[in-house]
Amino acid sequence: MAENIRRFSRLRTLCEGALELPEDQRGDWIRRMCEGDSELSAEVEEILRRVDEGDVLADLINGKEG
Amino acid sequence: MIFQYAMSESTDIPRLLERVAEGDQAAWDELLPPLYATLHEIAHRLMRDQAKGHTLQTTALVHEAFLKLAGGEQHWETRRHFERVAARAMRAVLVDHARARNAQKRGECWRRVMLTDEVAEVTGPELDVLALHEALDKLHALDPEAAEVSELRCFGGLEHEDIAHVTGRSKRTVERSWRFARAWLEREMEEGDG
Repeated sequence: MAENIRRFSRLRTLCEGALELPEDQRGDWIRRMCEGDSELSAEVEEILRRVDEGDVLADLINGKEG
Repeated sequence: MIFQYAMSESTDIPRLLERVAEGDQAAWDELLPPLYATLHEIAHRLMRDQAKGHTLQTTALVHEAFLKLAGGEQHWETRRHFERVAARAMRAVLVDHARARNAQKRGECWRRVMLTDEVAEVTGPELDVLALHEALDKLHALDPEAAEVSELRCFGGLEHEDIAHVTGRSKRTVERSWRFARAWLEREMEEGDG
C-alpha cells in the first residue's frame, strides 16, 4: 500500500506540474520526469487528457448532458 | 454553502449549529427546514437522470438521509463536521439505493435495456453512484485530502469556494485537488465498468 501511495503522489505531482506548463511543452517534460517509466507517463497523459476534456463528472452530478 | 438552496437572508446557520451543539431544541427545529430542502436539492441533482418516476424516489432518499441526520449525532462541533456528516449521510443512502436498484435490475435484464434505451435520448448520460462510491473509497486510501474535497463536491453539493471555507484550505488548493481528483475518479469509474 505504501508503494501505491507513493506512486499515486508522484502521479498527482507530475499531473499538477504538467498542467502549469504550456501544452506544447508538456509531452517532453513528462517523458523526462518519468525517466523511462512508460506506464507512469501514459497515466499522466491520460489524466491530462481527461482534465482537458472538461469536468465530465461535475456535469453528470449537475445533470448536464455530455 | 450547503444551505444555499433554502436559507433565508436572516438565517444564521453557523449560530444555529452552535445552539444545536449546546442542546437548544428550538435551534434544531429552525435548522430542519433548510437542512431538508438542501438534502432534497442534492438528491434531486444526483438522481435526476436515473429513471422515470424518480421524483418519489428522490423524496424517499431525502427522508432517509434526513432521518440519518436527525436521528444521529446532533453534537456537530463545527460547520465542517456537520457538512461532512451530511455529505456522508447522502452518500450512504444513495449507495444503498443504487445497490437495491442494481439487485432489482439483475432480475429484469430485458426491461432494463428497454428502459435505458427509451430514457437515454431524453436524459443523457447517467451518474453511476456505486462506481463513484467505490472510486472514492479507493481515492481515500491513496489521498484523503483529495477524497474529502471530492466527497463534499459530489455528495455534499458544495462549490469550490464553500469547500475551501469548510476545509480551511485555499480555493486554489481545492480547485487543483478537484481538477486532478475528478479526472482520476472518471478513469477509475470507467475501468470499473470494463
